[in-house]
Amino acid sequence: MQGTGRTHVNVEAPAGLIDRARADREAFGEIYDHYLPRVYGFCRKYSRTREEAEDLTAEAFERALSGISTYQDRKVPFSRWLLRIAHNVILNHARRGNRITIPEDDLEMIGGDSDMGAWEEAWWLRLHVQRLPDDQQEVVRLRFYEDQRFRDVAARMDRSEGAVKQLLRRALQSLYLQIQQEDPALE
Amino acid sequence: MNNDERDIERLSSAETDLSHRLVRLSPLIREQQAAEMEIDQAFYRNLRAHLVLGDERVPHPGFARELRARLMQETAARPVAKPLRQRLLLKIGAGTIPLLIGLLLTLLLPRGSTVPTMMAPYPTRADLLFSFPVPRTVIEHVTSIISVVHPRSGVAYSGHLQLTASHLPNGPATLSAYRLAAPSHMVPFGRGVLGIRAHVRHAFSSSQVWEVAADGGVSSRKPLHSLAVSLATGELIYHDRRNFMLPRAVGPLSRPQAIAVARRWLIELGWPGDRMPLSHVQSVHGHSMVREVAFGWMGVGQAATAEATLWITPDRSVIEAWVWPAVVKRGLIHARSVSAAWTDVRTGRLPVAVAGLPPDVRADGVGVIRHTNVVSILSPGHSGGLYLVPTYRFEGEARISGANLSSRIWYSLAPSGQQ
Repeated sequence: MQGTGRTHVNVEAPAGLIDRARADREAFGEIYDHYLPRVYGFCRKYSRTREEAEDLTAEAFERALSGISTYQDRKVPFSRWLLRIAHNVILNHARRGNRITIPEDDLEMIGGDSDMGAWEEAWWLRLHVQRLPDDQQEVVRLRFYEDQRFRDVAARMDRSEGAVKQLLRRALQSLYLQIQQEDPALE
Repeated sequence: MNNDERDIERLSSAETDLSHRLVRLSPLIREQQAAEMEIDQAFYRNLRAHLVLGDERVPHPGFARELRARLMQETAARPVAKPLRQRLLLKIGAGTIPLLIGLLLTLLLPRGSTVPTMMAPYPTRADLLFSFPVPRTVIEHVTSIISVVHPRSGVAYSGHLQLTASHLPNGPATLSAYRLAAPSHMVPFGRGVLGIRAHVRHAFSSSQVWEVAADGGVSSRKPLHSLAVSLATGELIYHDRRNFMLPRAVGPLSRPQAIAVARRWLIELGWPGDRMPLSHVQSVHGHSMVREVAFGWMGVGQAATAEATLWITPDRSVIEAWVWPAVVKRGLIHARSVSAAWTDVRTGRLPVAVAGLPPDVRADGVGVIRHTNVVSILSPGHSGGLYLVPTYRFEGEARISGANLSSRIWYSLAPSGQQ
């Protein structure tokens, strides 16, 4: 992607690595390193326990390993391909009677494209936030992730409310500029 | 989201939209963060090894968890048989403790593949001394975390040797190094197999924490029957002193019998006992009825420490075992020249051992090189993990002043990688 020399947010593994992974298990190991948190988190969202999430994650990666030769990068991003596999694993698990945290009515809705899309978008946005300066990251985390009022954020950061609002404004501006530089089409 | 965003003034519409996006996605971001922090490192490593090495070498992590629970007679958290587990379970005979537990199998590289370089540790003086032969040691009290096979490190000769070499071989440009399986792979296995009524506790030595299971518990008066695994290195020490006195034994096991017993014991423990290369068979010093059988790591070549060393009595009991994790990865390191390594030895920067002399002898002497080869030694990595790293082993003859005039064998190990 065009940029200003700043490091691109590494949402996807390099295309070369994905190609190598079709024939090289060690390369697939690097794929695994890159995507495990994302896939595990997605499976954990629909699991009662960590062990359950581990089993779902393991099965998802096993299926990915056996099916990676069929992946075509012109159709969907690799992460979305992986999450679709995880989605199928979760659904199959639920249908076999191994109920996880999904109400019956929602069974067909889980991990659907909208869920995966939101998961990916959250991941992407989180990566961008992580590239902000520390104090801007902190204010975003407290204000948005932890849903704290300005006065509480101010107390935690040992600043005035006005200073916190200014900082948050700068954080949003930085975030917007950063995203624009990554992909001007994204608004 | 509490509704005082309006308090942030002068945001553009795009920045306001971004703010709304953060509000909408924050619950998911929190979930992602929590999940990421929750990821168990052992699960991460085990699944990675399972995917990269293949399920015939490394079991599905969930399978390993269930099998561990069965071995420890615990209730499995969720007794669901997944297709993969069913396939793996079918492969295992009813009475066979699985080779598939072999997170401990040696990596066999496919033909034609290139071996990557490895960031192997540079062995320390302590690593070198650990790999020296152990002087005769009187152990007054055997505990679960002391191996009678290797109760202490070797000792450097205290005197000065003037060493010369008429000829040194050219060394290779690269040498192989090996990473061993993590200690977490060693800990769960063995207790059920060995029939130890587990009283698991942690024991502490000067530098390591051990997980120990012992019959009857810590303060039992029974003969020692214990299994200890170092949580730092994966080193496994087994004692079974219930049958040690051997009142009716008339002779040691034959060599083939002792080897067979040792291989079977390792297989039951989960090691590839049938394929590990035999290192040596000898009588244990001071116990002529007891056979010591040692095996090396598959594919490693000569190593200063055996992967598995067992003591076997005439009634086919394994009374002592000292076992290390298997190789899980092989890589190359850039080698330094043999002459550079020799210079370190000759100038006294590296320890030298002399066979057959008491450790307190300090007399000077002279020695010459007779033989140089590459030997792997154990060395801990800086960020955890244990490696087998190559060293140049120099061996020769020496004459020591004041000792009787027969030649002595001297040897030294010098790191062969570049620092």
